[in-house]
Amino acid sequence: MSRRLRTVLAGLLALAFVVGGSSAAWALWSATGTTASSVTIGKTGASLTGTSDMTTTFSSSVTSTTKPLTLTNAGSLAGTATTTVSVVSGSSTALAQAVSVVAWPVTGTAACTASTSVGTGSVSGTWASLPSLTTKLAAGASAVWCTRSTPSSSAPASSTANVNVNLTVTAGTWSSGVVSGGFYLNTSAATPALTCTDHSGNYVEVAWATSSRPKDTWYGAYAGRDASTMVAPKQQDYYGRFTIAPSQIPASVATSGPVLITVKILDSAGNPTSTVVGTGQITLFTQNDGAAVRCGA
Amino acid sequence: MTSTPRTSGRHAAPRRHRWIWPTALALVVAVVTALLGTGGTYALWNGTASTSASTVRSATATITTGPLSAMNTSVLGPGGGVTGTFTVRNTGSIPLTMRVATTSTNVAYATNATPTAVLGELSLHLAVVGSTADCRTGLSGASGRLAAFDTGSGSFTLTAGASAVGCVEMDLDADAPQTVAGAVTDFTLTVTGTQVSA
Repeated sequence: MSRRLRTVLAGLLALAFVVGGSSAAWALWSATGTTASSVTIGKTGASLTGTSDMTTTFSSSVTSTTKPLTLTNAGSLAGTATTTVSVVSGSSTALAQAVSVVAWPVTGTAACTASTSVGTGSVSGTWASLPSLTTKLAAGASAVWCTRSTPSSSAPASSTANVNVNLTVTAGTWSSGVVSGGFYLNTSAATPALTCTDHSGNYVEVAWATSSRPKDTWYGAYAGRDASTMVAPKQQDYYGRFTIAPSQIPASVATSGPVLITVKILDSAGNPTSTVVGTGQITLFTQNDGAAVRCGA
Repeated sequence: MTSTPRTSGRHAAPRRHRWIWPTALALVVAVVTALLGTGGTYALWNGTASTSASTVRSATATITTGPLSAMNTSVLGPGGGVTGTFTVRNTGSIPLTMRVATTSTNVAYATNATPTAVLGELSLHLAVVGSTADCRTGLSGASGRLAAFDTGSGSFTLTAGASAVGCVEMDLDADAPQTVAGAVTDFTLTVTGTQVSA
């Protein structure tokens, strides 16, 4: 570096310091304030009640059951409840398949009785395969579905189906996990068939199988699926049969077609007990412009 | 016996640094000249006159920030959002440009996820609205992850005495894992008002 250059550089530095240092110092005023809050991330959850009360033993006197099922969104997020049904391994899938189910939403458990009519939004199937009881639920909310189970005539006797109802509540991509509730469907031992004898359409005779019961045991013949209407005078084992004419079948039970006849043991007051000694079908039809009856379906 | 004559003598110092003195001298002269320049000038003429009395006041830069309304009255689900509002007022005497930033967070009840994982699913949006009733989800405005939210300076400007309503929206990612469920997150926003530069 030449001497002249160094001198010039020194001069420039000095000038820069003087000029640069002469500017005023400055800063912008500012003020601050704070504010705070909190956010909570929700949870999903599910609970299921009512399944244990759905355990039923079907028989000739118990041909249907109507029970409520309550689905609850136990989480803090609104979600959609969906259900599936499954038959526990080792139990009778054939019975679960033979029990038809209709389910419909109701306003509460009290609105689900045997006399309640099936409402709107119903789903139908069997306890082996039932469509989802899909319901949108707010956080913590519940929905009650009324279920009516009816075994078909082909339901196997002396069987048990262990059915699980599986509930899931989903909120977006989140799931509550599966919550299950189980119950049992049972069928009683097969009821002996009645022996039916035709009498030219004018009447039929239905006889029950003899047993070791005392001969003076009283029996009653009842018509219909619910076997609640007595259709002939009570009888004892001495006679061993009922005579049923078409006019003895109330129109409220049937006016034509097959009618189920159930023979039950009566108590000392003449009321039916739950003991069924035989069932069979007769059929109402028209013959010579008049009401007629014959054996069989 | 012979001896070798000792070599002695002094050599003149090398003249490598001879430029220092002129340079130093130039700096001193320049500084002295500058200092002299800061002094007043003098004149023999003199005269006085009085102006009417006046008061000079310094400007003030102050703000007040109201509380952020409760945002946990409803819960967050995947893809959901909740909102809250706060007011900020320029209580000073000069216009201020505003900056809003998250300055603290605290995550609790995250039993299946780390606080970092929870914060990684939360986004904050800020919009300035006309009134609290106008605050709703989906408004446009500054946005970012809660923990790093910062509008930067110039988010909005308040003239002296003016106020604004901040609409804060907190969103949970639609693909948030369920492990963050149940977490409660507290957060603090700091509002800074800076004098609008001339």
